Order: sequence, then structure tokens, then C-alpha cells
Amino acid sequence: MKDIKRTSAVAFKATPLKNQTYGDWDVVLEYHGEGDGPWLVDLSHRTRLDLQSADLGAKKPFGITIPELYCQSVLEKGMLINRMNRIQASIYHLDGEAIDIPEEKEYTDVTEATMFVAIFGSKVFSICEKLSALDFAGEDKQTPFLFQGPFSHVPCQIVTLGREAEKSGVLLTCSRGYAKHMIDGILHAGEEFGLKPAGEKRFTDWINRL
Amino acid sequence: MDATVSKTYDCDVLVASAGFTPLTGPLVVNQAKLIYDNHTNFFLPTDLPKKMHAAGRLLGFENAGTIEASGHLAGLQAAFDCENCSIADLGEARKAMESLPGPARGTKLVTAPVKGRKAFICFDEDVSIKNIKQSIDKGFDVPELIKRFSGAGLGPGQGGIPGHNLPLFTAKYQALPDVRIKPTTVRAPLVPTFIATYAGTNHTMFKRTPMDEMQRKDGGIFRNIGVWQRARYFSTDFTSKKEIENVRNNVGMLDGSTLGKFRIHGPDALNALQRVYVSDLSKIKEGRVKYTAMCNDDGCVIDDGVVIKRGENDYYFSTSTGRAGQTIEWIRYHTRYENWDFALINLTDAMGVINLSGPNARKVLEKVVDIDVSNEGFGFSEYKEFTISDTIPVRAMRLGFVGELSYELHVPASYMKSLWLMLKEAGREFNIKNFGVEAQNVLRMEKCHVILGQESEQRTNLVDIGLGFLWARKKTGYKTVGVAALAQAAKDNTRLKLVGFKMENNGRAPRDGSLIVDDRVRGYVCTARNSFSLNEAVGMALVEGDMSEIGTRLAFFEDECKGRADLRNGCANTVL
Repeated sequence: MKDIKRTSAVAFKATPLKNQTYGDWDVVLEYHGEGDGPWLVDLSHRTRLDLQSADLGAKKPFGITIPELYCQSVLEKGMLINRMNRIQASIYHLDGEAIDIPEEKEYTDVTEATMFVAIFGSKVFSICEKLSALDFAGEDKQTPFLFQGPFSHVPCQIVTLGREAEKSGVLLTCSRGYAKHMIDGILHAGEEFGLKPAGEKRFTDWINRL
Repeated sequence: MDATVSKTYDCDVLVASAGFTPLTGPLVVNQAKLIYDNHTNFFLPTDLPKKMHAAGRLLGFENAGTIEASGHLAGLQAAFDCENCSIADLGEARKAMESLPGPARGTKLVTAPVKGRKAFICFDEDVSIKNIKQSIDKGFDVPELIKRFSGAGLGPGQGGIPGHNLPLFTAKYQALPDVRIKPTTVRAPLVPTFIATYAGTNHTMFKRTPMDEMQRKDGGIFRNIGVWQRARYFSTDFTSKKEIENVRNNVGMLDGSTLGKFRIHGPDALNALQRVYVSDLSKIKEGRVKYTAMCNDDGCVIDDGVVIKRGENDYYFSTSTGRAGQTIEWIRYHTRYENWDFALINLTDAMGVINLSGPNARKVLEKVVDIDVSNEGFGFSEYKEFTISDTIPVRAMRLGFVGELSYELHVPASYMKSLWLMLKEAGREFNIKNFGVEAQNVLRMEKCHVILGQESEQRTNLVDIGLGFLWARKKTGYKTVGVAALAQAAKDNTRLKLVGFKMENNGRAPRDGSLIVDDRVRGYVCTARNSFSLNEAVGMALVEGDMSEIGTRLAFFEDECKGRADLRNGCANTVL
């Protein structure tokens, strides 16, 4: 039925210029007036998986080795894998066509459980420090790395993908229900730095430059 | 002030300024230098940065005319810096200053003349002269060290008084020549900053369900309930009469997305469930829904919900809205000493829930789905998975929370809007309506279905609130949380018991929380409403065991009873 659509919990008050259908999702590739950065991009349609196993080290999701260090991440082939703890990893599909979810029971599709956004551009950490006490630009860690902690008082997963000037940026997921207020909070915090909603193309260009 | 003069004032309010010391902080943080002035006995600024000008007490003036003239001169100097003042005007202002009194001679007194008694140098931090002497005697002999050792000047007032008196007293106590007297360093912020400023903007952070926008468009009136914002009413009639009657006689839709939803899988998933749920979940059949409850170590009910077996070692279960955030920790905590292999995933936000309820619910649902939803095809307590239009995956349960034919449809959150619109379209011919949390509250109360936290509390266990049938007494070997306490308390008739009641003489419903009394407090009302289905007021109450027999008359106490429980008409009631 052509009327059946999937709806993101994230809604921007910006005018879409280019759209693309992605499964049952209507994805905005570009918004009017995206500005010069920093940008906020909705990635809710991108698949996220939860992987839990007592023998996590033996798992190689999508052929990628899971980092041994807790809160260390790895970005390969458009897939980001974040080691959460002894038995658990989160997997974000960031680039390319839709993926087939592995059939093993250890994988759970949690795409619907969270809102998923990217915040990137040179001022991203100035925005983040208004909303969280966590140091997303920490020099003691090797990018990409994961934080599991509060952002605007809400438990989140935040992954720093880059911290050098224009390549600076984070990915953020939190419970889907918080999407409206989280987006309001981020845009409010980013207002003084020129933060604008942007389409997925801006995001793809960014991660391809990392 | 030397505390030797007494004065009497005829006044309503006395406003005193203790600020005798010039407030040089703003100059200092802008790199001005302070030097001790032997004439005024104050630290006065020298070497002011370019385009910075001081006036008044900052320069040691006490005469009002001089203070005003110095302010005028400083203003003109600033205007001159901005190329908005002539040299002639400046010259005139300087000349006017020359004819006025200069800085007054100050007192050499740096401590209060309280011989033999306690004298303070810092009132904020309770640092006395004696403490300063002790600091110096211990080797902390310069103001910067004394300050850190004693705490003088580190309170909210910062260097206000001790910033001046401490270096002077230090010099005096050590008999230092005045050229060495230096004030302690002043640092920003000069004015205390509100902690809220550091904390940042306090954004509203509540969760919204996937149906939030649709319900607001339909006139939903929202309330904050726990971490969620939920549609409580769909009209300004807060009795929700029409919503209730529509569910009882027709069909309504409720957004139940706030329910906790979880997946548990792995070889020990069943062990973990058996540990926390009182029922025997090894008997769950695929395609069936098992209603069950969790207790704490005291046997008190903390949660209820349904468990579904979706495959070998793979279960889907729901919790109450309020417990969703703690469920994973609860299960992990109570299995922490077991080397069990299981995984838990919180799907609360992943799955939206639509509760389709009412006598016409089946007629609406069968227009949308391709499966048999007849009583034979989809019976009570059954669970089915199917897709709608080959697209929307649905986990459907036939349950009866509100006491009517009901289907609980769990669907991925992003599809909720589409399914909601499909159901509304399908229900148009029946005049399908939304119903909110208050209508649901009354509907389930009429059925005597408990809401934990409303019909239960810290003291009430599973049996007390009538859920003893969920407890599998023969289930052994799982160390189920709370059953040891339940076994001890099960036959204790003195405990609070949950009872249903109705009002006599067509009385109105007592307010929730009203006390039940005889010669003392014997219980309280959990929920009571005027039932439109029964045309009388009914409710549920927790009462002491001996008052729980059917037919017992109860007396309610509300504020307007003014101490007489029997004052209100119809406050005597009958246990159903």
C-alpha cells in the first residue's frame, strides 16, 4: 500500500529541497538554507543493531572485528561498531544501501528504539559542552570512541567520529521518545554557533572525508 | 567604626553598608595595580590601563563633593577617549577638583578593639585574628599563603574585608615595613555566579509517544506522567464520560506506547524470567499471552505485565510504564551471582502500542488485517504475529485491560502513524474515537483491575491486592524474588486487603486517598469514580483485613467531614 510510510521522531522546521525514498522512509537529502555549519542531520532511518553475546570477542559483525576496549569504536565499510561492555556492542549503519540484518539471535534490530542524529562542523564541541559534562573531544582517546552518559540530562550513546576542526562531529542516539525535546535542546544550544538542520547528503560528504 | 559610639535612629528601616573598603576588584581584574597608601590606609589603584578611569572612593575620597566631581572628571576622560570631549572641558573639570578636599586620612586600625575577646578578620569563613597568628607561626607568613591555609577571604564575600585587613594585619603582626604590604590577588568572577548558569539552560525533557502529534491534532489534553507526556483527556469534560461510554458501547483507540517492552534471549533467558516473575513461565505456550507479576524481596508487587514466548529461549515481555526504566537493572541485579547467559534489550520506545477496545473492535480490526480475528481464530489471551498490507509487522495480543473486547497491537514506532490512520479510516463507519488515560483508568477500575502504585503500596504484597492467583506455589528451584516472604505472609489476615466498594444512597465517589475510619484509620481509597456504566459511584480501597469481608460497611473521612466521619451523606459503603 503506497500510503504506508515510516515516520521519524525527528522533525525539523526547515524546508526540504531534495528527498529520497529509503525503504518506507522519506529521507531529506538537502534542506533549504543549511548554512556553513555546524549541522544537525537526522539519521533515524539508518539501521542500528544491538549485539549481545557472552562470547562477544568471537563475533565479527559484517566481517568487522569488535574493539576489545570498552567504549572504543571502529568505523569500517560504512558500519560503526561500538564496544559497550563485556557482552554488548552497538552497531550503526552509516553509509550505503540498506543492510540485511544477521540472522543470529544475538542481534536485535533497535533502529526503532532510538532517535539518531549527527552533529558536526567546527563548533560542535562548543555546542556539546553546553549540554553535557562529558568531554567528547578528549585527547586521551582515539577516534572513533563511545560515551554512554547524559546529554541534556538524558542517557545517550554519543560517538565522537572526528575532533579536528571541520572534521569534528559526533553521532548521538537516545530513546526515541525524547526526540522532540532533545532536538529542541540541541538547536537551542547551537543557535549562537549557527547550527542548522541539514540533509543526509551533508552527512555522507562528512563521513567520506573522515 | 571603633564600636565605642552609640546612636539612636528614629526610623522604620535601617540600611547599613559595611563597605568601607574601596571596591577595586573591577580595576584589578583589568590589570590595574594597587599600592598601599599611607595617608588613606587603603590600597589605591595606580597604573590604570589605557582608557580606564577611576573615581570616588576608589581614589580614597570621602567628601561627597569631591566624589561627585571625580565622577564628572572620569566621565569626561572616557568621553575624551571616545573623541567626544574637548581638552578645555577636561581642564575645567580637573581645575574644579583642585579646589575640593582631597583623600581623607584613614584609620590605622585593622582589627576590632576587642581586647581579650574574639576578633574576626573574615566573617564569611569565621577566621579570627588568632587563626591568622597561628598561620603565621606555622610558617605561612605572607597573605597569599595565610589566605589558603586559614580560608580567610575564600568565602562568598571573597576579598571584601580580609583582602584589605589581612595584608595590613600581617605586616603589623610581623612588624614589616609598609613597602612590602601587598593586597591578595583578586580574580574573576567578582560577583558569585548562579549554579544554574553553569548548569546551562534547563530544557524540558519528556518523552513523547509516536502518536503524540496525531493525538494533539485530535484534541488530546496532555499531562506529564512519569517521564512521558500522555493524552489524559480528549475533551474538557474531565470525567471522560463520552470516551468511557464509547469504549463500553462502541470502539475506541488508546495509545499504550508507554508500556515497557523488552526482549530477553539466550540459553538462560527462562531462568532469569523465573527468577523475577512469580508465575511458572516454563509453561508458556507459543501463541499465548501470560499475565504475571514481579515482587520485591518482601513479596510486595512491584510490576505486572505479560510474557510471550516467541521462539526457543527468546521472549518478549511488557512491564508497567513506571517500571520500564528499571527493569533491566532489576533482572541483572537479581541474577548477578549466577553465571547465566542471557541478553536483555529495552524495546519500550521501539514498539508503539495501540489498544483497540470495545464491542466493535473486532469489526474494525478485521477491515485492516488479513488474518482471522474471530473469537475462534483469535481467542482471548492469544498472541499472533502478522503483517498489515505486507508491510507493517504487528505483534498482536487479545487482552482485556478495560473489560471489553480488546486487541493490543504492538508495531514498530515509525509505522504507528500509518497504522493509526488506517484504523481510524476503518473505524470511521463505527464512529471510532480516541480515549485517554483517565478513561482507561475508570474503565479498568470498573473491572477491578489494579494499577500498581495506585492500588498497591510498599506494604501490600501480591496476595493482598488479589493477584495471588499469579503465584505458582509449586514452582521451585528458581529462588524467585519475594516468594519466601509471600509464603510467610499469605495467611496473615491482619494485612491490608484490596476491596471493591460502592456508595450507598447514591453518594458521590470519595476522593482518591480519602481515609477509611472507624475509631481510627483503617485504610484508604485507592481509586473511586462515578461509574457511568453502573450509574453509581464505585471504587477500590485498601483496608485492614478484618474489614475486607463482603458486605462490610466502610466510612470515609474527607477534609469537609471536619472530624466526623459520618457527617457526609452516603459515606458508608459496602465491600463488594
